[in-house]
Amino acid sequence: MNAVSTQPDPDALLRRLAGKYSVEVPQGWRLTKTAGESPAGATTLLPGWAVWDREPTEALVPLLLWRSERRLVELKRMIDDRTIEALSMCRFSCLTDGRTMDLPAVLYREFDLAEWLAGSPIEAVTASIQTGRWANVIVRLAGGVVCGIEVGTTLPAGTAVLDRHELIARRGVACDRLVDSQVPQSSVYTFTASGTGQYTDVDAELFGLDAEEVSLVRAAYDVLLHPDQAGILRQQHRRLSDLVRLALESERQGRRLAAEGGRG
Amino acid sequence: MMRPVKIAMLSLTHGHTRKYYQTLRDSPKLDWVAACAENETVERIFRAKNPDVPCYRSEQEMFDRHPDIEAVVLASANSRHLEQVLACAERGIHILSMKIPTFDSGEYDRMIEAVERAGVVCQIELEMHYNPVIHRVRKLLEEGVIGPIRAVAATNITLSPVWAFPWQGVPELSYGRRVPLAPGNPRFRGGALCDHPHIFDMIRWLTGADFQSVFAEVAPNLRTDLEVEDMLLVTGKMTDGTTLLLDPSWSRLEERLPEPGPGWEVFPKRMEVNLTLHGDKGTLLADCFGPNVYHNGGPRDRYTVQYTYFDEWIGLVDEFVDCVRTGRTPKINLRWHRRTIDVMNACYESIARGQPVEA
Repeated sequence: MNAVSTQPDPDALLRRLAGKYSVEVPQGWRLTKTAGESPAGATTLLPGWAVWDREPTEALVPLLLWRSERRLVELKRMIDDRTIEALSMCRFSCLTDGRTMDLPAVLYREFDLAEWLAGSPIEAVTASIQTGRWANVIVRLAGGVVCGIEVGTTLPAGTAVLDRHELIARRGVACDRLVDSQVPQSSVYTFTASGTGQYTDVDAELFGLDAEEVSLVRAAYDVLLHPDQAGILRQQHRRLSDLVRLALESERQGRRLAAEGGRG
Repeated sequence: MMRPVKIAMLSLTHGHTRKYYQTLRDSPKLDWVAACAENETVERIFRAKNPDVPCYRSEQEMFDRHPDIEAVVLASANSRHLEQVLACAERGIHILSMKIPTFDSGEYDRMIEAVERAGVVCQIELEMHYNPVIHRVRKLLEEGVIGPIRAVAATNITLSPVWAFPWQGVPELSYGRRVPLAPGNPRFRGGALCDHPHIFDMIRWLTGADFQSVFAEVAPNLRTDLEVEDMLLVTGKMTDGTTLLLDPSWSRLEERLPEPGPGWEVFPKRMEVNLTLHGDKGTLLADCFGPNVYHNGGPRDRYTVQYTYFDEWIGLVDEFVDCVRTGRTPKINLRWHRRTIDVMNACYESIARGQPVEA
């Protein structure tokens, strides 16, 4: 069991956070967790994977929320600060229940993580996909780093995402999961006659939200602080959408395919 | 929004000093006006990281040049707290104090009297109160998930900061005077216990009860060249019958760096605050600083925990600013914290007597 969010309205929390720090929320902007119809003239901020196959117009700000998740920020920092040096391989895994994040959505997320963490674009994709529910993908990034991505979308309904990101370098290995463990750790466990409970709270200012919800609000807040990010996010969204399509095409053709600008 | 509080830092010799830098810079509720360094080395280190913040060597000069200072972070050795609190109170300056105001009850009384007479806020920095995991624990307890607490085991274990902050290994500067741990024991009060009030405070807060008795036992020092204790355990009872086992040791070895930084730790996790709470209806385990991310990269290529969150200072500063602006009394004020200090002193007394003592 995971912590259940008691404050599911991310837009209200974004406005609360913005209000605390006197940051303006532009007229008509709203933050949502899922894709839906936007009122005319509104600008919707939402997870990019939720609209992975949609062209991002000015009315859409596709958020790459994992870039605001602290464990992943720290992994990125370890590369940027050269705590680990000369990255060789990334090994990613992401298992979901398929309801919130389906297979293309997971690929969208993990492709962006590969590019963002490694700091270089994907050049080629080789995907092996089974019935649209499982995928094993190898991507090559510019500079030669290779990344394996394991995707499964058939966990029981309601199961929290099980993911793992391991960065293997000539100097050091970094990982967002503990050595000798297969599933994420939690901060709090309860053992009662009603069963076992698990809770992980990562942000006192946004207490009550799970890590992904916190990241969503933080990512949107970053756009409020730096509105010019919206255009950059749309640009990356288009690229990720193309990479997801490329992975699906790679499976269809049974071939390694070059990404735009890549060498194949 | 409230007018930002003009704030300064004093001494800059406390281990938590660096943790304030980002908050003092980022918080729109604060205007970081100046700092005052205890000595030349501290000033040099501070200036390297904060070249834009005016740094003085004399508190008098700093206050004279910045008469608009409204509050200070008291980031000094425990032995300097009394004089600094009295001076600030006299100037009507609000105080955010490090975790140990003083171990001397007479000094403690003088601090309370001065602060209350001046009408200034004196908030004690016990940052665990603003930790999101502790928020969750409190919520679960309030919801009755494990029922009334009957037993607690808690760790507040770290590496030793004495190599970067030498006063923490000097009995007179840490404990306030040179008191042998026990007859025939070559060590003195002022070590790991003095560094770790959090779990003593937390158990009071979580149970709503007071300490009834404590028994503390020191183990052989891991660092044989320290003259203060670095390893000890505490057991005892609360007034509601809750039994407790606390570990406030410096049980994680460190590289002896003159300045904290990457590669400080020898054991992968340099700081841990874990709780086990047993209630009538169940058990709760909490790791207040986990999970994190992990690596074996530079500078020492050892398996290391890289912490992912340290934002307790945001909530702590939020409360402090609110109290300064509204006149409210902070949750962790001098009077509340006094019992925790008394209990820590009782632990030392127990070590000296070799028996449990009333807390």
